[in-house]
Amino acid sequence: MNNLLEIKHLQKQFPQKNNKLFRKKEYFTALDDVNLEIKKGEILGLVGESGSGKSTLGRMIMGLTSSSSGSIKYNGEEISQLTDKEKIPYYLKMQMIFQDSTSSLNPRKTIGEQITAPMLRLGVVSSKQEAEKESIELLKKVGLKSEHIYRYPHEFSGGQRQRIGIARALALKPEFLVLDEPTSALDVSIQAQILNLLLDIQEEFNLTYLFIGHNLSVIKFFCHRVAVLYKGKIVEIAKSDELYSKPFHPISNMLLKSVLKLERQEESSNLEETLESTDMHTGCSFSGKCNYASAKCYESHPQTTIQYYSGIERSYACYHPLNQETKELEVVFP
Amino acid sequence: MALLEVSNLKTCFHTSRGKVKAVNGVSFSIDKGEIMALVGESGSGKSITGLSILGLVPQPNGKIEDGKILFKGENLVGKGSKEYRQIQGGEIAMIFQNPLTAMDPSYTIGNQMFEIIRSRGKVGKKEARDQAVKLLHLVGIHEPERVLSSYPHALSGGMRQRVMIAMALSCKPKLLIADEPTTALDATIQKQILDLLKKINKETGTAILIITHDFGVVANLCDSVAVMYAGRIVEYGETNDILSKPVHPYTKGLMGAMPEFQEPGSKGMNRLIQIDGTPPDLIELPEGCSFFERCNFATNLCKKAFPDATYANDSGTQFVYCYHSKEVV
Amino acid sequence: MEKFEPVLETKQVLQHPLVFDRKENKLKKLWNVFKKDKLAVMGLFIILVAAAVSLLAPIIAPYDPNISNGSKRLLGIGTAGHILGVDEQGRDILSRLIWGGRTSLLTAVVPITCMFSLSLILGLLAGYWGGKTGEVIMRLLDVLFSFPTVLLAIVVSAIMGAGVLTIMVSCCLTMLPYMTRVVYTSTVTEKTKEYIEAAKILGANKLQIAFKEILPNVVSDLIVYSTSLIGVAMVLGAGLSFLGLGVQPPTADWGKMTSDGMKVLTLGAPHVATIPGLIILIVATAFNWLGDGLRDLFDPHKRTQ
Repeated sequence: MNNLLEIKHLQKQFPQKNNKLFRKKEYFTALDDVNLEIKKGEILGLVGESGSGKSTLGRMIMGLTSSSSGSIKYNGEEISQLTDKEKIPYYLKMQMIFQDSTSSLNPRKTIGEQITAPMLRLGVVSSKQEAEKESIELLKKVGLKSEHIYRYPHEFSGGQRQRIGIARALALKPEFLVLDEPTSALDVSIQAQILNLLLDIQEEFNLTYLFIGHNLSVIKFFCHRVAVLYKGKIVEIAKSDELYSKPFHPISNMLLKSVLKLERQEESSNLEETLESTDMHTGCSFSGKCNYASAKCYESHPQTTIQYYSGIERSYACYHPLNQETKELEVVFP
Repeated sequence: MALLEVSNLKTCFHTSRGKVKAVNGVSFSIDKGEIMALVGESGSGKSITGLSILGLVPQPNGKIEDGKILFKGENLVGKGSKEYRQIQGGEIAMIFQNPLTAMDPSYTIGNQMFEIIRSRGKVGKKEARDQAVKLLHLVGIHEPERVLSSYPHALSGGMRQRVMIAMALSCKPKLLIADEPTTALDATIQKQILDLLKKINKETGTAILIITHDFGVVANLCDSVAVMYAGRIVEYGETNDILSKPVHPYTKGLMGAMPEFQEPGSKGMNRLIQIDGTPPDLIELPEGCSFFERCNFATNLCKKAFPDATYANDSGTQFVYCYHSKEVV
Repeated sequence: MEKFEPVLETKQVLQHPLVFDRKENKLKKLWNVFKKDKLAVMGLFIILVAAAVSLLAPIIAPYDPNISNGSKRLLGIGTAGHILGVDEQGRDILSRLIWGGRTSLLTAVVPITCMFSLSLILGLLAGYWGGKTGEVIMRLLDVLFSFPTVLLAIVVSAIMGAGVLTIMVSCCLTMLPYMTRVVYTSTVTEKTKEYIEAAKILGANKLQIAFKEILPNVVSDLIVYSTSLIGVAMVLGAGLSFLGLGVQPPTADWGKMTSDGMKVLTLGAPHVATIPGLIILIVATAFNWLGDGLRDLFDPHKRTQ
């Protein structure tokens, strides 16, 4: 098995705030029965609308949010139930790049301090001098200059700050990076620079990435495989160009259609928007908006079906999948 | 006559470091019912251009130093705040990137809408409600009554932006300025909002000035587009012309940097086309073309003086500020 | 046409960058920034002068501050031999001011300085740990909040007897909850920011996060707040002395001089109360200026402008 990360039946429930005194606590399910594997050296994309739980999943992998049930295995070792202290060795292997580069850097500390402190803390280097030499190397690697170690975060532009975040994560020599929408706050031209940099680094250090995003065209360009998340459930996993050309799940199809192309497109049919409906049914959470929904969809949530296309697996959870002309082999996941 | 005609607009900010030339001689015009886009990266001056038109340049540091803004033939530059208030939210309305900050969190949507409607003429309570319901229907909201009684934070991002648009439309503006109206929204909602703007434009004839950094938005919505860089327009033309044949190196680079622009099938080892470097400091702008430091086509000529406009096509609808536009194509 | 060649930046790359072994240099740099803020420098100057004068009181005071001269009472400003006049008991006001600085500065500055670090620690613990630790700390402070200062001082003086120490201890107990609240509030705001999470996954433990990441971000709020409390503390000390709980007559104290002078304010000798009052105002303002200057010093935005 060359799976670096294995997530099985992962679930997360957040307690709902309610001010009533004598009332049972209610829970909001952010992630529901998530199964996902990330192979070594792979770039896996995680795409979904806001509120689909994609950031929660990234934070759970990093141990910033605890899980309600299920397991997360890193290199075969269970990491979802560790104490803060036990997590520390894993931070040398996995790191995270945050979406908001402004708030993820401490405004009162110099770049140098922020990069060297974790290295010294976790014993990546043995002396301050070495830490400094190393941090200058890192800054150069991400396209900044050595004198930048004396500067403070506010003296940099958004793109440069994101580079600093990357340098800081690389300082601990990780093998796995969670990229939580690293470019969604950046301009297009800067986004290209950062994406290219991340690809260069991935090749150089043979890293594994989990790329969380909402922009499918970025994901298609950047990732090998894509997992589509909708309201806490993974609805489809496929190679990114296959998902792009032949989406199986109606949700993937909807996300793809929403990508703005550079050619003029026909107007989409759905001009109206409704308030979130509060009535819950046990079925597929997309059924209310889905054009293909049948009675079955409202009753129960479809199980995950795995198909093999010339040896490459593709999974989806839908009763009425699209683009289904070439079935080779089908396994229903229990 | 054009609805809005901006000529040689210069808006500056005085800071402790010096004068920031945020908008540095911008000229363009919008016809009745036209949808135009101002495209550029952050710091290119596109938002300040929008705010200048509405007379909302951030005070006390900002100032319109030069130029004319003719709205229906009347110059808006130099008008007092009282005269401007007739235009703000009246004939020209604006919607923002983040509708939540533009709404009052402690009043219901209904209260806020009624107040706007009633401030624009003598309207009874009942009538104001009817108008609000009608407006919400226009922006594609199913259950207007429920939305009217909810507070801003209770709505989703897309819903808030719809309400924002409804509020802007309440005084039947001739021109709607939309500053990154879809940037904060999910891709699925973004498409809906763009289609909604298009529908409103068609049905009410309101001209729209969209400020964005996304060529996808431009392609889906706009008739014409002006590309801004470092406070200046560097290329202007009809959307189809610009998208199919950009002649300014910056426009070309910007479009190449979009992942959407990657050739189908290209994968793995490939990299996006990137524009190296960062935009120039707006305090110490270079004398010549502001893009020359990042440009692959730059020559010593570019360093000396900012180029004049040249026509990029025969019909004279696309023009560009570049000495080397012929080499770019 | 000649091709434009971009000139590479030839800024000198530092040969031996040693961020940590530059304490001396850093202090010098900080002073260079600080001295640009004219008000703060003036504040510092006033405070230093006041402190020096108080320290040197036995040498520079022209008269004994506590010996009254029955024949001269309520003399005005500019009287020969008594530049600032004489109070209702015939004591030289200038000498009393010089000596009074000792008690006033001591009773105001010492408690605030002591409580500075304590409130920082308590506020950070309560704010960042939250949970039970936080609740216990904050509720205990609420209990302190609910005591009227005078009552507190009476209790303290009952234990320790009246005197300067009583004023200082009561001042500590009064100021602590206010100062801790300030730290607590800013800590709770800072705690939700992403850099805290970043620190967590970069291997920092709770103590390191609280004292290395959050502290630099909350300390400037506390500096501003506590320097503004110095004036309040002086007046508070005067109130306690007035009730007989603090400084005992005839010991001089700016606050007490002001309150004693009140009696003769309308009897043709307003200077007896207004001069020490003005001094309190000036010193308190100086501390505020200094506080603002220090806050800017801790703010990299201002420092690098």
